[in-house]
Amino acid sequence: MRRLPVYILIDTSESMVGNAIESVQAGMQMMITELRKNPYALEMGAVCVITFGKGATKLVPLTEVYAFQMPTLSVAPGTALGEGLKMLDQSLSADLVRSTPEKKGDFKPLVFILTDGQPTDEWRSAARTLKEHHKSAVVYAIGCGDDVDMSVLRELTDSSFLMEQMDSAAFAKLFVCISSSVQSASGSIGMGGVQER
Amino acid sequence: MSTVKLKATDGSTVEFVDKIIGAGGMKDVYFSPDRSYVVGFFRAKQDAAARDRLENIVGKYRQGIFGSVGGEYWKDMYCWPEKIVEHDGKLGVVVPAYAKKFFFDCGSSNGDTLKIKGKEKEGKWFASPFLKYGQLDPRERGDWLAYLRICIKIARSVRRLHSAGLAHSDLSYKNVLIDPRTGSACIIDIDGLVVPGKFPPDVVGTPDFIAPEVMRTLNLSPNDANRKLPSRGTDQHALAVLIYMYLLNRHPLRGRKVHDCDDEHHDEELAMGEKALFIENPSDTSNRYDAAWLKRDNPNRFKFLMPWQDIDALPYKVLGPYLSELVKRAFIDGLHNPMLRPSADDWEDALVKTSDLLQQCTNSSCSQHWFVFDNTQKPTCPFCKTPFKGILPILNLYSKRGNNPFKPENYRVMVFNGVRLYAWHVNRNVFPNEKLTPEQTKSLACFQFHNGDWYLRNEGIPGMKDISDGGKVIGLNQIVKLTEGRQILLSEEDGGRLIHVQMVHC
Repeated sequence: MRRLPVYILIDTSESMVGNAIESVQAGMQMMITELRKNPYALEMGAVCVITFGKGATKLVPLTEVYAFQMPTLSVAPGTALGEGLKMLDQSLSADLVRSTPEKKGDFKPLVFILTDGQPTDEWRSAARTLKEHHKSAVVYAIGCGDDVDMSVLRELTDSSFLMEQMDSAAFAKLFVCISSSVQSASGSIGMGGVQER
Repeated sequence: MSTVKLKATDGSTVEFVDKIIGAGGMKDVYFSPDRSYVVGFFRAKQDAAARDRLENIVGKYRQGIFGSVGGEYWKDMYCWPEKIVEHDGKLGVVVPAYAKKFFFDCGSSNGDTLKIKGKEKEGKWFASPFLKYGQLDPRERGDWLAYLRICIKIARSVRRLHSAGLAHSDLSYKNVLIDPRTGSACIIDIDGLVVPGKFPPDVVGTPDFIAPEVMRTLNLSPNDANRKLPSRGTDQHALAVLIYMYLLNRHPLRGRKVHDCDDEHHDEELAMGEKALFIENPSDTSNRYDAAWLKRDNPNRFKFLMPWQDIDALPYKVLGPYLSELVKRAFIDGLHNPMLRPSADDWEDALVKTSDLLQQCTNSSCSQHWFVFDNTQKPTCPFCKTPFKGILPILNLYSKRGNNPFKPENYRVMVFNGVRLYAWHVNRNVFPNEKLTPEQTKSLACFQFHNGDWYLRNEGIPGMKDISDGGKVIGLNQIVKLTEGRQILLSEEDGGRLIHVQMVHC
């Protein structure tokens, strides 16, 4: 069974405390709910959640959507983005099934990085390694918080977005966007990007 | 929320509540205040040709199908655009809301943990055993007869479009709503209809249903003469895939073969296009899988996939002789040769005939309840493996053409409690479809089991005779015992039929 793996890397540093982390929590809940209502995502999707604060934690290992249980997020001092990227790199290497003549491998993984872009560790080398190891990963960086450094996000990927409002409605909307991108990825297999003439 | 009031191009008033209820590939959709219809606005600007096409769809083509004899029949089978509107520079269509039965009533299992109650019954839920048997509430699933009925309705609707010179161009489980509880189906998204030589297609189709020739030429320029676009021929491929998936819960081309190890999208393109190969192809078995492979590939889901995806246990032959022949034509002979694909009419005919070959499973806990008679002395339910025990009367139908003697026509009717004979059994020139008159839908004979014997009771066939008893007339409400070799005449008119009884003791 060919899976569509989705990795969510969440900044749980102290700068995310309060409203921001609550909104991420509520939004993620909504995303999972949406994914479970979609037969394509339910059949093919698998989600992994990694958080980074002081260090990095794999909150939920890559789990098929139907079996996914919502984790609870909690904040910690520090913004170890580098550690988070390292864990993401290792997880991708360990989880992803590559095609062999005998087995169909997974689809390109989708990665969503939610951060305020104020890392406190050395992250550039980890970002480089991640790119080298996983060229096929489709990475989205989403700026969250009151004081986002978008330059960091732009270094991570060409697809970076800013969440200006930190209320839960905005986050819900963001996560619905994410879930619909997962759905369209699973709905447009083999289209080679040519949906319409 | 505000309500917007508009005049449609036909002069009538159209209203919609200004809140998007859904967004498709090309349109944003809004409800009318009473929710009896929806208004879908195209996000992109529509050119003159697109507008002309829509005008034909809501006008001439709609009139052609709904305005002729039996037109009422199609109201449940299509969600057909009725009007055109314009608002804020955007073109929109007014379409009836889907019937209530096409929304989940119970939803998923364990009290709807997926929270899909009230959502549309998109066909995908019912075409994957993992979703159908692993996720949905048992009350939503339906039995095998329900899917046979659904397939008849889909084939019939597609046949009607094709006979009007139209092609749907994007048939898929996304664009056909089904209800296994009532055996209903409804074709939606009709605004993309293709008219050969007049209105070209907008989309290439939906993955899993795109015909191999379209997939193979996807990267050519639309102006290239070799580029293949959706047409009646590709509808025929999509229809065959839909029927195969609803009846067998697996995709006919999704097997074990890997074509490109480095790029999974390219691999998918090849598997559905240039290198498409039927998983049950008898001469090239490289795409075929077995239960052991299935278990390795899906360790967590294996129990839901059985027996459906065990090709050895449930080959396409379990669909019976009429459908097997068409599966062969669709996925072996015609997979890469559109001219050889069965038409929607062929499918409708074979599906209807197959419904006369159904046998009830004697295992009351069998989830499918029905299966196709396998033409052996020991018929066994292929789904739950329960052998049939008892007497099985089979009526072999012979028919008369002109003044020639009765000839066999490879048409059988299985007898069990509740089976009835209708006008289309009595005469081969009557076909059970939308053209039947109310008179023709009346039961003309029924069967009764009494003291270990089966009897036929005449309920309305004027010329019924027992040929084996010297042509004795079987009058209204009279009965005749079914015995091996007995011949019963139903009608001597042109196309009239004669029954040759066969008794199988299992």
